Amino acid sequence: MFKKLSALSKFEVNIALDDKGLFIYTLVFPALYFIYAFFSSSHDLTNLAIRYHLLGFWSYIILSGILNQVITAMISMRENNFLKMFTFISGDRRLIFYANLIPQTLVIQAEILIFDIIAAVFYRPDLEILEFMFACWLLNFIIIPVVAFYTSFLLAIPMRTQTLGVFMTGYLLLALLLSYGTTSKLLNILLVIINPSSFVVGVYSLFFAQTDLMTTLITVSVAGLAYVIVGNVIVAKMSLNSVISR
Amino acid sequence: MEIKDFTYTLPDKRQLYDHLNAHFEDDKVNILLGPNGVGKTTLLDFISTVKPRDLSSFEGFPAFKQIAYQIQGVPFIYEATVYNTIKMVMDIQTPNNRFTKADLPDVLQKVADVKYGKLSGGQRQLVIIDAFSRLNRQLYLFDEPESGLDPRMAQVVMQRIQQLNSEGKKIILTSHQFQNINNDHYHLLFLKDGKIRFEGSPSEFLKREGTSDLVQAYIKTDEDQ
Repeated sequence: MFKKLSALSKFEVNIALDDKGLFIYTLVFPALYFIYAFFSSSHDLTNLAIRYHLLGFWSYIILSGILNQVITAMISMRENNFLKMFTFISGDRRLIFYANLIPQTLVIQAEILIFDIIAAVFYRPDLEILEFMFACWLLNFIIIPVVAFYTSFLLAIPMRTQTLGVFMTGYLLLALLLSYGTTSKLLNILLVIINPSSFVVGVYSLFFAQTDLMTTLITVSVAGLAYVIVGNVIVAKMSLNSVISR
Repeated sequence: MEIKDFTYTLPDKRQLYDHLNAHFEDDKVNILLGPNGVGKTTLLDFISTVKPRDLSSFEGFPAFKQIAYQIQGVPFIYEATVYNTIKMVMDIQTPNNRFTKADLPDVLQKVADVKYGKLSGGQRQLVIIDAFSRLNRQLYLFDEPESGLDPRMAQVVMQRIQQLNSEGKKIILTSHQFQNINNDHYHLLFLKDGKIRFEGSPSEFLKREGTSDLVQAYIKTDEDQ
């Protein structure tokens, strides 16, 4: 199993590193926006404000990376019959998904690391924030795969490649818009359950939340675990046939 | 392996198979013949379980994990070299293998370090057939394996497929080419209008149509219906 995964992952790394254009959406855009936002606002930010700024950017990098580099890649593979062919070679659809997810997790982590260095240069944060950044970065090794499973329901939708870009952009914007929560505790729990971006923010907020810590911990743990289980089933059962084939 | 009384209608309401019956020989290379659009590839999709197989109609076919299915027109990864492509398949098939460039067939050794995307259409087809032939499965499905190959390379591919069959592997392929169907180690199935119109050996096919040319036999069978 792991040998198969390793062999397939080597191939996926080739593809991941070949398409450098994706870095523009997942790293360059947020980095430029971060610099713009830094110079357009007060430089005298509290540690809490810095944390909130950072987790918004991290949430964007993770979700856009997963949508563009994992989910879109899987749908494109299904539509050009690559998925069918590689599934017959490997014997399991999930291996193709994991082989895609593993290198992309590392790519997204590299992007976040570069972003964090840029952020550290501009914010000149104290040790407490640097520790927070490092802890969140380590936690991303769990968060990124969970987000991939959160969004795996998209693999069950018969979506054409022509409409994929528009759909993913809309989904990303909506997810980010909803990620900062509301004043309603119940609605916030619901958002963590249905929105991957709210889940990401929820996990990071465990490091500094003053209230509802236990509720948030239970919600993100249960929701994350449920999505990993359900996501695996969705991937294992996803259609190998292109939507446009007969 | 048998298909019994199988009926299937496409989502656009066209009937593709009409109480179709077919028998596939284990010890022969089964070749699905028939005009374009009659559903040869779709039948492979059902046999391979890419489309859900109706258990009451499909008898004796291996499970998904015991099937290798070469899909028509699907390329490998353009950035990978020929050697790395086959090596990837070998690593999946047999971990800890000692596969080297010298283990490639002669025709692929010459292009071992060439990226798949830089190969000609025929060379790409050879890489795909070679890769799939290296998978250890009970049943191999090839969708037009000779497509895009020159006569000599087509012969190499058919010899490789026959070799697999002689090693005890079950084979079903689709084809529009006849130059290599030159003995009765092949089992022909002619599909048209939702049914198998002929099933038997090449010599039986020729005898039935009263000709010594398989192309003529094909055209006659197509026109007869």
